[in-house]
Amino acid sequence: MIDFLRRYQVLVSSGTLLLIATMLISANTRREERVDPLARLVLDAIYPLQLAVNQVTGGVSDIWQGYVDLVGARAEAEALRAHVGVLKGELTRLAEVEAANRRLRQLLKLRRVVGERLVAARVIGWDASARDRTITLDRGEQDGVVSGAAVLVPEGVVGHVFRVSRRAARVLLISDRNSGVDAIIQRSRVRGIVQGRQETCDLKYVKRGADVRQGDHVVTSGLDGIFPKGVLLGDVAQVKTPELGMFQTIVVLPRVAFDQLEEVLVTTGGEPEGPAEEPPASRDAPKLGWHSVLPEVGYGAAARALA
Amino acid sequence: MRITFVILAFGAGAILLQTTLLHFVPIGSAMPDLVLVLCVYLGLHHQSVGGVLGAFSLGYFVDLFSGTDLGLNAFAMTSVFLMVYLLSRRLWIEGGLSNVVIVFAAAVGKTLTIAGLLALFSGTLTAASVRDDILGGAVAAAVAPLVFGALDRTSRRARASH
Repeated sequence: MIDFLRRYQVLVSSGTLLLIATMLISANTRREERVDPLARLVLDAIYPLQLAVNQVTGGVSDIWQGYVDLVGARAEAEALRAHVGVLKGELTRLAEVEAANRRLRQLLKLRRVVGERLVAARVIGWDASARDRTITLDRGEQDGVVSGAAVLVPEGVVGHVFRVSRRAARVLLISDRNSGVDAIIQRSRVRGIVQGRQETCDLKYVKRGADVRQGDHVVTSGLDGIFPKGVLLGDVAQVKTPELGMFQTIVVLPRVAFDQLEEVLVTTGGEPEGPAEEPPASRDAPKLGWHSVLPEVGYGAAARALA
Repeated sequence: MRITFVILAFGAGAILLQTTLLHFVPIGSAMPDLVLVLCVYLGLHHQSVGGVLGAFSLGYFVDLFSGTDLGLNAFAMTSVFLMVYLLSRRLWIEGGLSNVVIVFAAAVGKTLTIAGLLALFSGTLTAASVRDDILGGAVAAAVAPLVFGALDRTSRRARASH
């Protein structure tokens, strides 16, 4: 017996581990919560590395952008090179601040619409495989983020938190094949389930005769207990009624550009803190970066609540 | 022990790259599967219980940063190790081109394994995901000689300094 085990040790150990993996998949399929004791530990351990790589990537991108801008300025006016360079740099900086302000103003408006306490988070990582659609955020339990929290941007629903550690959280995007969101057609109030299909989504379980047209807005119904009611999921791109079967085949195009996500809002439950005043259009914020911009542009209580 | 550390370091680096920088590599929605290359390397050069454990662990760590189906990649990477191990006992696999071919074959094998598991357990497989997996495998196969070279050099240094 021992000789057999020694001779076929690789095959035996492979078989054992395949069996363990099958049991993991099976247990995971049956339960709602994932059985992954190491997940929190690993997520917290790799969080600083992901954050660092993300910041380095941003820095390199800024340097490259600055280089491109400088090359353009040199070619434009040789005599006024220094002056134009300074002005261009200033313009780039202001444009960046303005873009950050615009995004943050939209996030603040969304906070008023949602009517729940929200926390702003930055995307620091994406899914390790091309098959699945998840992202990692730089906010965790210590910021009030809990498993099952909705993740939103002004364009619509991003997804929901399915795993959270102390300082980071992972989000299942609505375009992931395992995601399902209770939804309604805004115009006709027809109900269905939005399920992910990588780049697009399907609106499932809509009866053959239901009133659904191309271009209709699909919004959350609020019945799943995760997403607030009435947040945009996407637009109906295609409606097909098969010859057989009870349901229509409806393709939904999400409004959110998932690949370009930078900042998101995460619901943390409860009523929003302080008055949600309209933020002023500020162009004189002195520093770049949305974490630092918020308190400095004077958004008041809403900004403090978000930051 | 040092070799284990080398493989672990490469694995952590691969997962870190796959969750950050490689997301921006412009090859559509596909992603170079560097962890797969590591598992093939283990299957070719570390044919022991430690190698199997390494492949399983790498798959498990990918599971922690990928999707919601825990165990899926652990199963797939262990299967890849087994497939490469069995193939290498029957075929002569050495050199750049054969490494490229074996990594691509492993990518196809992994995709089929995952497709089978998804069909069995959740039934949520899409054609787009199969396409992305195969494309990611092709890119991984293209960079395999570089990764193999780096692993060989680092392993040799680790052995020499031991």
